[in-house]
Amino acid sequence: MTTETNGRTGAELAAALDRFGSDLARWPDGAPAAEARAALLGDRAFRGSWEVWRDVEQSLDAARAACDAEIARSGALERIRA
Amino acid sequence: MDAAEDAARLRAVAAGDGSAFAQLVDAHAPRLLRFARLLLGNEAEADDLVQDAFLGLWQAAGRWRPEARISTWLHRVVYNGAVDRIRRRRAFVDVALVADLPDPELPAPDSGLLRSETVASVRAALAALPERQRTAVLLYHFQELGQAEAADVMGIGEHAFESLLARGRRALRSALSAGGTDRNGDPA
Repeated sequence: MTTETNGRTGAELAAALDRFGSDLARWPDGAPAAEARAALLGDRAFRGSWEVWRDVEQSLDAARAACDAEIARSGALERIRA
Repeated sequence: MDAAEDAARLRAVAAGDGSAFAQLVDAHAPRLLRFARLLLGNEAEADDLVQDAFLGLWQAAGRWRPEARISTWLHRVVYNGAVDRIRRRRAFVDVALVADLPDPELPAPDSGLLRSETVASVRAALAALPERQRTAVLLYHFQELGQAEAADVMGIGEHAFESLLARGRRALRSALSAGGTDRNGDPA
């Protein structure tokens, strides 16, 4: 069952969340970021989905940081510069 | 370094300024190495690919079109090179890409076990994605490119990129979040 959130269905907002992620500031022009912000406060199901995405994206951030640390340790940059 | 600074540095490279080239390497190589390593899952191949991309940039400096964006061009060269290598690899060796990734049993020297497990899980989940979905996720989340630039790197339209990104993201969520199924009930 979908819920109505400021004229958008919960399913539409969830689809946008799937596409663009939990960082609403990165949603492109035309995506319903303002409605998503409102839904975070008023729509429990949407907030639950948003929290799952936030956790997944934090895992991606950790993997990125680990990769960057490996690159720094590896000396690859120095080899390219040489 | 923004696009105008990049272009100015490349003009200096064309005029024979070696330090300008080093500045371009410092500005772009770490991100490209990240992209190539996570896309290929093999450090040596990835490092070679990035080195080749910079060699190509150096060779192209004298005929560079000012409207071209260096970051996009470098990502595209690395992406195309990685796709070639992945396809060659498939042609000769029938093994999972994850086999080339660092051993997840070995914790990173400066991180805890939990963090190491998270990183290993993300790498395994990325490696399990089809190559185009993996690329879309890497360009958007790891390289932080906008959709238009990421689509340009892959040589596809923005709608096609959005679709790839959404599928890749849903697969990652299924693999990484508790429960093992996504919102639509698709199995992890």
